[in-house]
Amino acid sequence: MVNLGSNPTSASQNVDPMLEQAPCGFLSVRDDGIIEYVNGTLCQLLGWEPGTLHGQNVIAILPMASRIFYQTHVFPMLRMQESASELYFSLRSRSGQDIPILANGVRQQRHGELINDYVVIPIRQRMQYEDQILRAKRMAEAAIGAQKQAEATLKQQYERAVALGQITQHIRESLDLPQIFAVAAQETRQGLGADRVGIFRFTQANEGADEAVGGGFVSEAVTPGVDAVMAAQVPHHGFGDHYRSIRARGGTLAIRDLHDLDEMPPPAEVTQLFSQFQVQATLVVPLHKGPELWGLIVIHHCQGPRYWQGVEVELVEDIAVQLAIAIQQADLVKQLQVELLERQRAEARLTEINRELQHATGLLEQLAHIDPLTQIANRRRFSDRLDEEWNRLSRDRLPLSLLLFDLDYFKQYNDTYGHQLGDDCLYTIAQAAQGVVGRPTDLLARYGGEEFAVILPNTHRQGAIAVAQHIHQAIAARAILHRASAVSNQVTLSLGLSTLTPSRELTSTVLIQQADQALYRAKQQGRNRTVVFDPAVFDSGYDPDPLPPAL
Amino acid sequence: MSADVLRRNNVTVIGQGQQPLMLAHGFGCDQNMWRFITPAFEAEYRLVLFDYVGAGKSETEAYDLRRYSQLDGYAQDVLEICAALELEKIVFVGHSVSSMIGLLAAIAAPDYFERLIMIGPSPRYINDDGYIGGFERQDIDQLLDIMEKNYIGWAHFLAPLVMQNPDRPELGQELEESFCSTDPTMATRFAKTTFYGDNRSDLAKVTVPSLILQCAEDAIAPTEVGRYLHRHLPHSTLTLMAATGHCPHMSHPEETVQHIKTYLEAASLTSTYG
Repeated sequence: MVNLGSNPTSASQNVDPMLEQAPCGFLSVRDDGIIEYVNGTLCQLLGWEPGTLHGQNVIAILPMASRIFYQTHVFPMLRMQESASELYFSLRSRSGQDIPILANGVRQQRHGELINDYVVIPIRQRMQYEDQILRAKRMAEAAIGAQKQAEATLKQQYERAVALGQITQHIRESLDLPQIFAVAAQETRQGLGADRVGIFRFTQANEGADEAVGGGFVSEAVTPGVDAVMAAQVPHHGFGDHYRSIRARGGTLAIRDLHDLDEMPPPAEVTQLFSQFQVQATLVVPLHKGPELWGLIVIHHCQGPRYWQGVEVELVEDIAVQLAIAIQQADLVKQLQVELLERQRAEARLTEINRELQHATGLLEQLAHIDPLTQIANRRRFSDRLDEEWNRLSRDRLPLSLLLFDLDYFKQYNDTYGHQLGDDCLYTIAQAAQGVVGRPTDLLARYGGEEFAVILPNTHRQGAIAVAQHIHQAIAARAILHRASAVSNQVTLSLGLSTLTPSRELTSTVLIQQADQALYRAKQQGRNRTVVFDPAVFDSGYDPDPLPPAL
Repeated sequence: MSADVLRRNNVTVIGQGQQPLMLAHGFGCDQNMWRFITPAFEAEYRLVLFDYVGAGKSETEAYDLRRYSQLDGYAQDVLEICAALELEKIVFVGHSVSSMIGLLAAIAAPDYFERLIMIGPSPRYINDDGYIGGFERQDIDQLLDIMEKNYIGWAHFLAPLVMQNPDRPELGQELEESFCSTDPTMATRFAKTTFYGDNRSDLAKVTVPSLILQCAEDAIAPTEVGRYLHRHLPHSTLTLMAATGHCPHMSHPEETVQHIKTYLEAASLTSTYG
């Protein structure tokens, strides 16, 4: 223990010289704070003359912070526990410099009074050490903290990317908006562990600046057991309005606790809705279509208040971007479908027009080749067909037969029965002959006034004679009365027939001339008969026996 | 509930009297600090002592950072103790920051309290425009630094180094226990709440009569602060003590007891109660 002098009032004069010059500071303080003794070492450290601190209050050598520490820790500890070790605070030198120290204190009785004695070690160097160690420790802690934070952030970002990837993929699997919304709502709900995720759509009619905003939920996913807002068909006008007023401050709206809204409290009808559907916390993210606000992703949490983490908000915002793309795409698809439909309609119309045109063209063509009175081929058609057949048969080396016939005494018929009946007669004759000329390649044509022609391709003379006979019979069968005829009491005809195998050296005119000559003979020989052209006979002037009209 | 509160704040009830005398320790201490004056009151009063959460033998697991970031949280503890013990007409003795805690409790529930006795009180420690509290903000910052080094740094790894006492490894442990608050976080928080606080606007709301015991040469609560408090606190009595320092109940227990007794006798709040 410290050995102080016998008289406390003259302690400085009587102290142990060992203590006065000890390598550490020594300080004695009474309970009332008065310094009773400071050794030479400490006096020197503090820049005071030996003995001059005696009788002063200890606060004279304490900086402000250390005064508080002395009063709240150092003195109370010593007073209550009689001793204290390793107390760190600072002393203030006479020149105002603060000197960090460590002090060990002990409270002991001396001359009938309890004195608080302190051994003081200046620790500036150790303080620097310690500061460095503390700083290093703090930096290490900060670094570890930062690393953990970075890892956690990275992990969160990774998880978010994975979740977003999945949802995006599912969204892109479809072009059907209702299905996309259903998938997005369901997966967002699961991803966030929320109770209700709805896709709200504003009605387009109310996009005007200051009108009330209307709309409704077009899709919704809820935790089993949680009421669906969509099913209840709640008009969310107030909600949309409220959202828009908030939106003016920024896109996303995250409310941790709807029961604790100090700013921008929603209108009463909205609060009522929240309460009806047990909504406690909500996250609302806008859905855009191009520059316009299309709708909202509305997320409800019903189990209690919920702090929406930044990473969760970002996830929903990313989903909103994907949905915006989907909405735009669906719009394009719809537009394309409309265009496609219009195109199909236009094509159908075009086909129709083409068909009509074809029909009209066919009609025109027909008109160009048909004799209007008798409804059989006209002279032009006859000529074309004869040339065609002539060419074809000359190539194939097959026979071609031609019949030419005239109604007998038709002028007299007209004179007797009038032109109207004359026309009727021509028509009837044509129809009757047409009934006989049966093959598709055969052609009956009106050659002139009351003269007709029949082209019979690939037909020998005998075949042609048979057709000629059939024509005579068919006309006879019609029994058209003809009082003015010199050969019969009904209409008859004279017929010339010729058969040739066409060749390139000749033209079809030859065949016509021969048939015409044969017809001329038939008339000469008394009409109502068939004459077959025979070169030998014709060249020699021989008049063969005419064939009778009916065999 | 009441048992929880009593355990939480390590509430001790002693004395043979009926008049409740509640003793609330200040920052840096625990209920042990009252042991130099309690013998003088035991015969006539019912003494209620306790530790704030984070100090002494309180339940540190009950510590709530938000609750104790304001003196109101501590005042709430005081009121819960009053309710748990069904106390009435309490004489509340608060040291240092506890004066303000008692004041807040008395504003919140005046019916519990008969008198407030404040030892070394201050409504604000940091100087303000036209107001002398005694400290600048950086002084408080330095105090927090000193506390941190004492509570954490030295105790944990520097103390054994400095002590050069490898044969006494328990020393570091002892050092830790010698501080009344074992948890540096809570102690630092209490220091901030105490020294960064400002209760000047609360003073006019107090209806319970009070005694201000102002020490001489108090480095923490200067005499100007005591006078300021007396001016602004309705029904207050200011007593300037001969005792110096900030803890007269420890440094000058006899004088402290004498002032308290004189005040309570004048208010007729002695053993005759009940």
